[in-house]
Amino acid sequence: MTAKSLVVAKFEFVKTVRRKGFILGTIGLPLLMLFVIGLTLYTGAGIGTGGTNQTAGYIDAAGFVQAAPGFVQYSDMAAGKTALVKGDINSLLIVPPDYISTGTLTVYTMDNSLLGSTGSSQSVQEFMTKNLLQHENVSDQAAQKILSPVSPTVIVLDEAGNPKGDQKIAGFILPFALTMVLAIGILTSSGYLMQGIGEEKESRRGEFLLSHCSAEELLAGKILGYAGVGLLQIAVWVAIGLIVIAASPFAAFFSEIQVTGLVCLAIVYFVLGYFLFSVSIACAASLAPSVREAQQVSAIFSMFAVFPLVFLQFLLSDPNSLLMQVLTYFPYTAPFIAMVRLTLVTVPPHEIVVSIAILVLTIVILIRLAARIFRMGMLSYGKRVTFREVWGFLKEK
Amino acid sequence: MITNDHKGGHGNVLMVEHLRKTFDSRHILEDISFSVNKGEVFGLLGPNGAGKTTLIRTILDIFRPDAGTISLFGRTFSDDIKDAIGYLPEEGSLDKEIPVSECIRYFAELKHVDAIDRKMDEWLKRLDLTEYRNKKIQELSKGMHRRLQFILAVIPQPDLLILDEPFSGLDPLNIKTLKDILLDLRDKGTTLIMSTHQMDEVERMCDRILMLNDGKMVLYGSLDEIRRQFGLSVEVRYEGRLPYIDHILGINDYGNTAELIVEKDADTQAILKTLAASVTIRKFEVKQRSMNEIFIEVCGR
Repeated sequence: MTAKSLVVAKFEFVKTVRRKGFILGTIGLPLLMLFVIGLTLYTGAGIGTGGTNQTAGYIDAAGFVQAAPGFVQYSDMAAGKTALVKGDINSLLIVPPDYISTGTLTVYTMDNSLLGSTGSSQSVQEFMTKNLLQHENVSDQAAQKILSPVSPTVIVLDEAGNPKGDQKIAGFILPFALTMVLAIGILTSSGYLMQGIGEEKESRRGEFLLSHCSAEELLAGKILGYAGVGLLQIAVWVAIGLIVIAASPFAAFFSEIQVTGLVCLAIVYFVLGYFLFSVSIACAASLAPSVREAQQVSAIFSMFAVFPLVFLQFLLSDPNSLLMQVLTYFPYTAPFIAMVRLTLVTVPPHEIVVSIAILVLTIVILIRLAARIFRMGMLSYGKRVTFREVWGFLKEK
Repeated sequence: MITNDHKGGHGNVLMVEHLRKTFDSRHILEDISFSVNKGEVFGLLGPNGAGKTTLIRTILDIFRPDAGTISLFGRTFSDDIKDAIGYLPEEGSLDKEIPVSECIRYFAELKHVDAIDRKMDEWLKRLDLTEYRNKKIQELSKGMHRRLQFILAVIPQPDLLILDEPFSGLDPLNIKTLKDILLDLRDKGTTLIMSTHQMDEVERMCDRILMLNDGKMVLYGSLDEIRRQFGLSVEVRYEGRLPYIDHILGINDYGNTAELIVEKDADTQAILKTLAASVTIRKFEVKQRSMNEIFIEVCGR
């Protein structure tokens, strides 16, 4: 890495993160998602949650429903309907005399939205379950356990019957999440990288840049700069996610995550995978005659990122199958398949060593070839480069 | 920056020997040999597709030669040599979304330029772009964009400045400004290589030229030598019918004005006498062949 590469990296990074599209995608998108989730939760809040406008009424013809906060009893249908129309209650629950035998209920509501109706049903279910349990003389403590069962502690064993690595589910989440982050990182950063190179080629700027620095320096700087862009975006998303998690009831669950060998391996695959895809996409983009064609070519590489999803069924049913072993050795699928396999089963260490060795070797070979392809590709203006020409580029001294 | 030791004293700034470059089995440059002296303005001429851009790219180490050698400032190409060469390409646009000052800073940093702000302000003022310092490049006109590209080429104070069609897209006022700056740079010791189709600029500015056609050298030397080599031309304004004249290589006859291309050692007084005997002569001017005529003659063969 030379000083010129760092200048290129800084320039590309600053230029991209200042773009409105980046700011909108990085901060606006998760905020929009949070807003939608929040709105859904707010509007989907069920009856009986304590708020004055969330109060429900009921008419108990079966004679076993007991008073509960947020629920108001009405003696007859007319009084209940009047309260509902006036807005004193937001739903009216009719418990018929034969409820115990039929389980049939009727809910009157002024809210015809899907979310409102769903929320009401869930709350009604909880309200009626509580009353039924009390009716059957189940203790409050037992009723509480039935309504909110404790999360089970899952211990995963390896083939020898010993607990495998982290015994907590949370221990598997981080490597799996890193795999997903790698996939997202590749998709986003490769998009910026491809667009940057495509624009430079279309505007015939490559020649001028190559008179200032070597192709190797330019390529390294671009990969570094756009990697920074992608990582910044991921970091912001992760930070927003962590803040949301910390404020949610799942905070304790995630606090169990510890940095283990698996996590370290995930980071190794992340770095190698990122580098492999960046170099490949940079070459592909430099060979494409236009930004649009560059997008099509880079989509091929992006497809590898979703391989774990494509092969999810095979992965889950037999993570050590021959197909999965082959995909673990293939450099473009290794970062994703290997990591998912590692979270599911004990992968033989030699497979991981060979997989990482192939990845490193591929990157070394690509770096040697990429600069030549990139240099010549950037200067092939407005035409589709043939395989013969690429072969000619590779033979360049 | 290249030290004096590396610049080769007052000798050659650039020495190209038996250069060959092939793409896809097609010879783009064949056996090209020439040198450029320190402080001179060297013209690189030739029709479209002659190999000029490939030659420039090879000099800049963007392309690698298949055969032959290139030495700059007395040594083979290296990264610090790149910093001593300024280049103004014919085509290509700068990143339109960034401000002018940021663009200059980026390219200056890539060439390890010191005191960037001061030099930036000086050049922006000189090229009349000061008010656009903080404006985005997309706000510049085509001529302003070209001037900005010129600033990027000269801000590193290069020892060798390579210009590909430097005056394209510029109005006469800007052409004059740029020409004055180029001559000023030359006077301060910068060597200029200028690839252009504008033969009148070549005649006014260049000391020596290299003309390429189909990747081969067709002319190389000082302008005076080359013009002498191509003989003289005579412009005649007349009334009557032109007679047959000896020692004439060609005639462009427009009815009452004709341009006679005469043999190298022809006696122009004898031609005048022959003409005077047959037609009424209003004007008779002997002059050296223009580079434009030479270009058409050599490359149109």
